[in-house]
Amino acid sequence: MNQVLTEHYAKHLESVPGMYAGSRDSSLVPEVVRAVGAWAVDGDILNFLVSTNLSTKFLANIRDNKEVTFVAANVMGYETFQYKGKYISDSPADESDNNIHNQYAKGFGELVAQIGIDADRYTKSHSIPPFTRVTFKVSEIFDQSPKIKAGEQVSGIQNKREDSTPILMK
Amino acid sequence: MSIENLKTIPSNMMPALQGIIPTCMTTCSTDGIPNVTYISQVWYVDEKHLAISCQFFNKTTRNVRANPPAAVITTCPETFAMWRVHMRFSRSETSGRLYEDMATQLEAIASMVGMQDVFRLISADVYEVDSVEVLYPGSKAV
Repeated sequence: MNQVLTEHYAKHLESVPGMYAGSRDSSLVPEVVRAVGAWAVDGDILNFLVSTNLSTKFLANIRDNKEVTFVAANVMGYETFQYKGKYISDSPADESDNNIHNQYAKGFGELVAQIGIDADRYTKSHSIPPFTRVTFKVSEIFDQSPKIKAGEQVSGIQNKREDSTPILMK
Repeated sequence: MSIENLKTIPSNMMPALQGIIPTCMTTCSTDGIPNVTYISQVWYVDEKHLAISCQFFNKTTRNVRANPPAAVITTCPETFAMWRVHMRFSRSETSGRLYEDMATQLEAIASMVGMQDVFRLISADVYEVDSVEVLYPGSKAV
């Protein structure tokens, strides 16, 4: 079986990117939440943390219909990947998860401080405990880095396709 | 913990639309797959409408034309107040004042990040706001 989450994507997640996740309800109304820590496991499993109290509808949606989408973008280099897959489980963050969150918050704060953002106040705005760990199986990865071919599928079990149709820029 | 819910865009959200802290947007295809993407530009139209820059004929563009609801999270770079806006695609403008104003600002953003060949406005996509959740009310610098 092909590995979807190769080392390149695992390292990208370790580079403390900005992260969000999306879901949708039974009427196809989307929801978006901020993620505050993520890590890859076992080739196609991705874990991420969300603030539980800011994610009530997001969590209800993924428990109901299993559809999970996640995006991570480098603060400095803009390299961005979108991960699509199916919900496996969620659970209250344990001590290990909270340690991962703390490392993420510290690293992310150090990065945004370099571009003049008040790291402590920014982190407090979206890192609101308690946290929930979401686990999902990634089936497709798309390169969303800002460039002409943004949206191209770069990994996954389906036939490679493009999520965007670039146009001639000139 | 209860989240305050507003019906219109609050005036203190305006700095969040400058693009200093990127806005993220979720849409959904008609076959039920969510799509999450960073967006370059969010524009205040009036207290019930926001416009999003459309730079590619991409998944977001296709999704909202088939299934109009969308959700964005935007953050104020001064107070770090954070809002989640639920809205629905209303119309697309390819000329006129709104389009010209957004194109000018997008050129400035592109110039700042060295992406003049990538950031080019195709249309100003206007969304009607359904609700605004105050996820974090913000804080003052000490």
